[in-house]
Formats: sequence, structure tokens, C-alpha cells
Amino acid sequence: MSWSATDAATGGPDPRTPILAIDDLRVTFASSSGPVPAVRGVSLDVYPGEAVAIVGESGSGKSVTMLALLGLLRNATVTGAARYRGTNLIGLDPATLRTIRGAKVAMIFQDPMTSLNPVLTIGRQLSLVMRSHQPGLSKRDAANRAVSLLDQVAISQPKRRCDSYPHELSGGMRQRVMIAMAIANNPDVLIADEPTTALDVTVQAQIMELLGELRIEHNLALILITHDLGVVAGAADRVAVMYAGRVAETGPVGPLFADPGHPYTRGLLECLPRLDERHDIQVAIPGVPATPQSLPPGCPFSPRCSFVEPRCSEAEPMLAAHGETMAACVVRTEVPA
Amino acid sequence: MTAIDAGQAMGDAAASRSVERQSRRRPRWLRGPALVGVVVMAAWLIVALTLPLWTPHDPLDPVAARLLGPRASHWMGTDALGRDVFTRTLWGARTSLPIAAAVIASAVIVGTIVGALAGFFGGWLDAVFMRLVDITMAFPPILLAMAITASLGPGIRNALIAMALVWWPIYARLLRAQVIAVRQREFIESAWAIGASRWLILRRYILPMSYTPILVNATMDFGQVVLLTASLSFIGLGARPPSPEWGSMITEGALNPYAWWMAAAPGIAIVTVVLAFNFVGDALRDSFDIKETVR
Repeated sequence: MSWSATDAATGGPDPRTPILAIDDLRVTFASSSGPVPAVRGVSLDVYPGEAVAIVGESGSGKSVTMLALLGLLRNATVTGAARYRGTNLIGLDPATLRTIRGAKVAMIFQDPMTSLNPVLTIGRQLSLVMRSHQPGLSKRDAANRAVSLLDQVAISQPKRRCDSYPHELSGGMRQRVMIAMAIANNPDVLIADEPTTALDVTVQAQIMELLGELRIEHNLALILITHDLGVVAGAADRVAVMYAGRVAETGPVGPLFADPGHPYTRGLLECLPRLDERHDIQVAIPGVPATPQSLPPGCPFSPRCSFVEPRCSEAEPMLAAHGETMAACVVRTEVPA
Repeated sequence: MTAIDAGQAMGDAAASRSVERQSRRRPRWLRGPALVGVVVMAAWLIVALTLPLWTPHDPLDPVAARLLGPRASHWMGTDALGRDVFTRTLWGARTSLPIAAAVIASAVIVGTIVGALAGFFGGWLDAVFMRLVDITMAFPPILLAMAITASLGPGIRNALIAMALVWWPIYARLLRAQVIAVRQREFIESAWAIGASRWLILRRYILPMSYTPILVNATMDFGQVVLLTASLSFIGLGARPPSPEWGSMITEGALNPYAWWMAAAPGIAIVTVVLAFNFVGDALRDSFDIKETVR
């Protein structure tokens, strides 16, 4: 991949002010069997132009966190704060939020096959997206810009493709169109929710490369939601590992991979198949992921943890320094790194 | 196409060729009964539009002896006043078809607005609208239409109003169900995420995806409305004599049971119209269903 952790330091007008500051975000869904706490206090700062990966198993709350800050969750109670350039998005009135969502903070979804409007041509959809945020934009200008956007996301014959319907495009091309829509209004933050999961491996690499190029070109802060640690290693500056609705560990990608603090992060990394070792049986973390409905007392990872001690079930651990990362583990963080 | 620029160029050419072929060929659903239906519909439409230019006789004036049976000069005989039945039957299309179109159009418009709002916004709006729909649909349509027409006063205009009032709930319910289903689709969520407004999402994203069953139902219902118009006229609540209308012509025929042609002609007209729209509606439904399952 053509970009690395050092890019982040040079990009952006003021890289030390977070462009998106998530502070103690909590999301609770109401269900027939009582409230379900899906996200339980997530804090995360995203700086201009940096790529942050949020890693976790299904149900760890990574997507829900992002949907919550864009106000895209129904029937959920969201508390805490998520400040975009100082404006708290949580509890913001829907009209104001709509001017930010899609224009300043854009999101692309996992499945490009179902994320495009099947009855509108690509060009029409791109124009609609632009004109709904920039009412002054003329139809002609929007159409011209649609062509240049398709060109930017490396779609061949962009002029012709504007007249295509989504079903005429392949999965990779559709994801490129989704990306073109997301960057159409020049956002500062792009949230990509597993953007490559539904695609072939070769196409995955192309899409990741495209996101990387666009990030540098437009100084985008990229939030990459994924469960693919390979993608993380190649594309992210920083990583936040989520488990059971909380951040288990966060830190720069290098140190976190080299010396993970949290046993869960270790477990995830050990699960990765490696080319330089022979595995007859793939290693897995024992047990099943904690669900929001049945959280163990204390550390949510304790029932599956090989480092577990009696005090682990006393209180839920807070993030504490472990080397260059921050880990929520009482056992591992007290060990001098 | 040379073999050198195989890849994309070939693919594009093949794609555009298949698109061309598809658009030049007649639509796949237009065959068998549906084709017959379309031909019959077109024939009636042409008759209704151009009849004043070539009408065989005047529909209101006696042109021959009373109660003549079918013959070369009067294909469907004459009625009790000596008017040409065939001419009157043709003229009937100029009443029935515009009325049915108006009823369907107003029912679809009202039903679309109510159904879209109810399905999209939900909550109390949905509850109020749907209870209204439930109440209307609890009555047999013909009874309700009769009651409304009778209370407004007999006449073709009031019959039209009554039928529209009876018919809109079907479309409201249909569209609401569609809107709710489409609303859950992922491309709607991604439209929200891109910051599209509610109005834009409803109009550009949800409605076009929800309209198929409305289209099919409206086609089928067209025939039913023609039938209902005739029924209301038959019992004296619709068109008043002497205006040529299929329902009231059947009434006149029923008063002269030995002049079978008097009721048969408008009866055949009704049958052809209802069947034609049913055939086409059926074919449209099948064709749309297939598309859905392939996807």
C-alpha cells in the first residue's frame, strides 16, 4: 500500500485538533427482553487526514458507533458526544445534522450491490447527492462533476457510465460509485463500513488503494470499520480494537501489532494465518463473544482470557498505557512494557 | 470487432447490442392473451376518440322501426325507441372509458399520497390513515358506492365521485405495504447516510420502487370500474336515459326480454373491456414477478 503512518503527521491544516471527537458514546437499544447496551462508552479522536481502523467481531458495536453519530439509528438511545469541528452531532436537530451528514461526514457501506438506487442512473444519483447539499448547483454543473468524480474513482469511460444503471456494473465498480458519491461533496471525514467485505480479494486491494489515494488527495480522515486485520495493517495509521461495546485497545498500528497489550488483541493476531509458519489447525480464541445481553461481571473478555485473574471480575477495566498503546486490561497494563 | 481490443471493448459492444435488440423487440409480456387485450383496448380507445367523425347513426334519434332484430342495416338491431343499438353501444365507450380513467386516476393519486405518507412516516399518521382505510374497506364496494351516489343524488358525476371514494383505500394499503418494504432496503439507508432529504428519498428512491403493484392493480381495476359504472347505471344511479351508457342500456334490454340484442350488445362490450384489462394486468403482474424473483 502506498501510504503509511507518517502521512498523517504532514496532512491537514492543524493535525493536533481532532476533526471528529467521540466522547463516551453510549448506544442502548430497547428490546422486548429489556435494554441492550450495544455501545458502552466509546471515546475516540480522529485527526484530519489520518486513517483510523476500528476492528472487532460482529456485534462488538463498531458499526453501531458510527451509525449513531450520524443519527442513522432508529429506536436507540444515544448518549455522550461526537463533535465534528466542535459541533456535537448527538442530539443535533435533524435538519442541521443532514447538512453535515453526507456533506462533511460521509459514509459508505459494506454491500455495494444493494446500496445504490436501482431505478436511477449512476449520473442521476451522483447529481442528486450533490444538488441536495448544494442547492445552487446547476444540473449541468452537477452532471459534469459526476463525470469527473467517476474519473477520480478510476471508472473507465466515465461519461458513458453516467448513463448506466447500477445493475449494469460489477461489484467493484459499484463500490467505486459509492465512494464517488461519498466524496462528491468534499467531506472531511469518510466512514467506510467494511467497504471490501462483499468484494473479491483482487478488487478489495484496488478499492483500498483507491481509498488511500483519495485520503491523501482530499486530506480525508478515514474511519475504516473492518474485521480484516490484513486490511488494517496495510491501510490504517491507528487502530481501535472493540470488544463488547467498548474499546479494548487503541494505539498506532505498528506497536499494536508488534506488542499488543490486551489479551483480546493478542488473540486476534494469533488467529491470523502466517506464511512463515506451518499451521495444521488454525488457532482460535476459545469461547464465544460476549453479547450485550449477557455481560460477565468486570472485564467482558475475562471468561475467554488466558491471563485471567480473580480481580478481573471485580470491575470493568479502564484504558491504561501499555507501551505505546492503551489497553483496557488490569493484568497486562501494570506490567512495565 | 478485432481480437486485439478484446476485453472491455467487446464487452461494451455486446452490452449495447443486447440493449438494442431488447428495445427493438416487442416487450416480453406482450404476447398471447395480453396481446389480444392490448388490441381490444386500443380498438375501444380509437372508437371512443374518433366516433363522432364516423358514427353509423345518431345515438339519440330513432332511425328505424322499433325492436328490429339484428340485420345488415342495423348490426345489433334497434331498441324500444327505434334507436340503433350498435351505434349506442359504441357511444357507450365515450361514457364508460373516461369515467373509469377518472376514477382510477383519482383513486391512485389519493391512494398514493395517503399510502406513501402512512408508510413513510408511520406513527399516528399511519394509524389514522389506515383506520380510515379499514373503515372504508369494511363495506362491500358496490353497496358503499350505491349509498354514496344515492345520498349525493343519481347522476354520472356523483357516481364517479362515489367510485373514487370507494376505490382509493386499495391503493393506499398497497402502496403503504410497498413503501414499508422498500424503506428497509439498504440503498435507502445509504441515501440517508449521504444526507438526502426525506422528500428526496420518498420521491426518488422509495416511490419508483413501490409503484409496480399499483400499476398492475390499476390495469386490472380499470375493467372493474367499467363494470361498477355499468352496475350503478343499471340500477338507475349512474347515467340517466336517454344517454347511451352500457348499464342503463342493459336495463332497457331487461324491460324487453324478447329483444335479446338490446342487452347483449352492451353486455358484450363490457365483457370485452373487462377481459382486455384483466389479460393485460395479468401479463404485467407475471412479467414484474419474474423480474423480482430473478433479482
